[in-house]
Amino acid sequence: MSDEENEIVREFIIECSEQMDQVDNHILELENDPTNSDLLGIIFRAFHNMKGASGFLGFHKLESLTHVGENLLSKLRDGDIVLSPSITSALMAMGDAVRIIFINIEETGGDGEDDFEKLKSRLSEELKIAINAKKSDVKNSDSDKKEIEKKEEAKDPLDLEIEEALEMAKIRRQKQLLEAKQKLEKEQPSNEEEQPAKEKAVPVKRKRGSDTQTSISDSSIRVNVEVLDFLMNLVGELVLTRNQIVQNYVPTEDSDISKSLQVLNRITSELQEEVMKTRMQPINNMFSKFPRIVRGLADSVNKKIRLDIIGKETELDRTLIESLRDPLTHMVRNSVDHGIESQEKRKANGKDPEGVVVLKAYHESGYVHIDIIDDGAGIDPKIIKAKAIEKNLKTDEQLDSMSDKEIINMIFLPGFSTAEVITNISGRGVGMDVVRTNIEKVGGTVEINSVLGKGSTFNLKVPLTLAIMPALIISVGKERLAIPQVSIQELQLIEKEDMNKLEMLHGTPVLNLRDEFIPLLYLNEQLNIDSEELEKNEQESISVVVLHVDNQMIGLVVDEIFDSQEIVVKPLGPQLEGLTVYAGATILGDGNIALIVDALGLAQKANALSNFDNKIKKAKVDEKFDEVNQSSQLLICRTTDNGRMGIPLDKVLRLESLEKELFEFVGGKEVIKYRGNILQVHKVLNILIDRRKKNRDEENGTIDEKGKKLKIGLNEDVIILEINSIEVGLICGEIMDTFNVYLNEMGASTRKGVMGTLVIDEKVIEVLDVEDIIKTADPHIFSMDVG
Amino acid sequence: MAAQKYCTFYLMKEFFGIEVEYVQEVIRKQNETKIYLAPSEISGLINLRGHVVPVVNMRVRLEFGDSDDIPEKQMNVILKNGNGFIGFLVDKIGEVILLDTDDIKAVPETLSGTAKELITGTYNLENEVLLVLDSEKTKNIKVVL
Repeated sequence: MSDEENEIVREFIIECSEQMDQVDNHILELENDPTNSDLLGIIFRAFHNMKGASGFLGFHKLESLTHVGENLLSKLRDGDIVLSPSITSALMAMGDAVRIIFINIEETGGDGEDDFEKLKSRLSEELKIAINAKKSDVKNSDSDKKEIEKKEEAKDPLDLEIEEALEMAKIRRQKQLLEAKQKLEKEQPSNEEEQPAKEKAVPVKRKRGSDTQTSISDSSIRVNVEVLDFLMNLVGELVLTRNQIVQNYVPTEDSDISKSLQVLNRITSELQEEVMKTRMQPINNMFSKFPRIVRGLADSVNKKIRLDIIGKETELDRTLIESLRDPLTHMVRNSVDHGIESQEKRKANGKDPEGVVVLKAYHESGYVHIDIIDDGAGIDPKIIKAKAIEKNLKTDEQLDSMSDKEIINMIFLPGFSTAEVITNISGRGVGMDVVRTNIEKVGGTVEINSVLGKGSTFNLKVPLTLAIMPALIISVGKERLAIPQVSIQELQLIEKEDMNKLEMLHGTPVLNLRDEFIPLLYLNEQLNIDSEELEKNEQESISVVVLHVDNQMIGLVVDEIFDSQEIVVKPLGPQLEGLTVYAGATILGDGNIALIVDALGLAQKANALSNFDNKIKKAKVDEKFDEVNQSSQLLICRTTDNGRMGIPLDKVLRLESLEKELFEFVGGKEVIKYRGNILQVHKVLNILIDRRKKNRDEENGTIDEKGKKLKIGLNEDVIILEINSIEVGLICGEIMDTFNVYLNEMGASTRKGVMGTLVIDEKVIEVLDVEDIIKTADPHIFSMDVG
Repeated sequence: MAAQKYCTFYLMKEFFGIEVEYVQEVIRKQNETKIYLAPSEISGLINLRGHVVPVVNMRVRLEFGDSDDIPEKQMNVILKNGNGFIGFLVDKIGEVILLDTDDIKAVPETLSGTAKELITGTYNLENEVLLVLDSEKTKNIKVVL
């Protein structure tokens, strides 16, 4: 076959494959609206075109198959027969067969051995059955049945287009009678007077339809992706060159150059943005195949499932769409197969027998989120726990210290994904580790939220594009490297006095991060970089980039941390593909190259993952922090400067509202008479190392962000705690509410006296370390002897 | 006669040639960014007009061993490499010469090591012998972890 012919065949396949995707969806839509002649028309045209082209290109098996399908469809379109579920399935089967032929053509150049005789006879059979069914209807309606029959036999689909126009009127009239017997669409005229108007209307509508088609195809063209990639690279170069010019430009009298530079600057940025856009595609290109998958799968497991798709117009980089296809399919299958319960079970639990799976895509903070939500049984942590013990993945003690969420997340562990697990667990588990690995490969994350009995939500978060990503520039020795922002959890500067946070456990260096040990890797050692700098620095302070890899945290020691930049990712070429510690390289503003660290690859190379997890991760420094891992109640207060603070409720004895006038100063300490004793009271804002110092001084009547005067009451909310058997009062502002939270999900501490931060209802809550605060306020309290 | 143009270069005193159609351009040695953990043949990355290009140190690739006589002005022969490029770092660039492929003689059986794999033939010139390299094989470097 000549190149030219190959090219034509290739385009034929591309075009037809796209059409087939649409056809599948249209067939499904038809199930709800079997007489929609627009849809039938589109489907008919798709097969008709395919038949014509395949005949021309010499794919006769495809031609004869589509020919049979077309026969069936032409009758459907003209309303001679009505769509039944079995016809739908037959049409779907034809779609599959067509795809198989496409694959054959792509692989071998021919349309394969199978000529799908069975399918063809099935399609013909369906046609006969449907016509017979119709005939009996028609008989009752007392119409000219013979005439229809003749037409049906005589009509060759090849001549159909010509015949169509001539016979339209007759067919319409027949159709009219038939349709009158069925429940007709309301706007359909049912009496003879309106007939001519109808006849006119239909062809006009069709014509308009074809007009829109041409205008769409006129306004867009097919471009080879390689061309776009090349363009993208060129723009990348242009951006770098622009950066160099701007950096080297020394402002002079000559303002013309300065002006031109500004214009260059603007145009380059716009160009970059627009070229990026050409790579973006609506996620619907991938979503569109799911209705079909879900329908087929639901049928095969005898469940009733509705698939809702939200945000199908959400755009992301086409290479990403490709790499998400398999993981998403897997997860949707899982939702249908394991997530949604059987109809009987749903009824028994008082649920709608029809299960719902929602696919939802949206943009948020520079990432694309895809949620797969089902209203099924949810994942039972107990079963996961039992499985983990059986598989020796975790010990009893480890499991006890884990939250339900952590336990559910164990389905992502590699050992969990065996066939055995699926049969034993009513939840999920097939290859979820593969799903996560694939998502993480493209710099994304996946999370589960599951409520037992209510359903599960899988949240995927992936970057908009693979080509450009935000990254942190760091240095080791003389080398500068980039670490993708997506794998960075936080940055820690360990000062000299905090050096005891670095410990050795089982001969492994670890960092004590909020009382959890995380493995510590020295980047210079990992990459064999000479770095004397680091050893000197070790005396002063060290910089740790805390990476979030594979649901674990790993501390990476670097020499210096610079700024965060948008970097253009360049491949290293086939020779270095096996070097998994790098995700590529980028060219920095000064023209130098920086390698991009692949967090996952680095962690794997250093064996810092699961291995470590099993041994040490859950070891705790101090027993009192064991509770950090469990859900706990948090008392939320609004401070006078409108900040939010939380105190673990289990530390709280009582809450009191005490009159301000009763507060007294004794020996420099604020006290109040309370239940016959003297209660020491501390104001939290006075104790914390305050970044909001200015507010502290005006504490008793500050103005909040909106400039509104806060109400100054006569009473003060006092939180009574018991420390070392002594009751102490804490004033933390207005007491608002309590919340159930997981303290192990806390973010970094903001200042001394604060354990960490949480976000509740979009407000940042500083969770107080009450012991530490009281200790700061009254260093003697812990050494006091209480007789 | 089947004519073929070769881009020639020197390593130490030896004279090599690669088929010219694989060569994109020849540039001076650039500042290289070292790739830690990379195979020793790959000396680093250079920025070729916005492309990140790995550079193969041909002295290492052809197992010339350590030597102090590395010339100051080494050159990079840039070749196409997949969708990007790759550089061969050589001591000195020679002329592009036109040869009759029929005159290329087999490599002596006694040749050993990597050289035997990468050199596809020899050609007798007036003053010296040209060693013809298989550029595809020369590019074929794999990371061993």
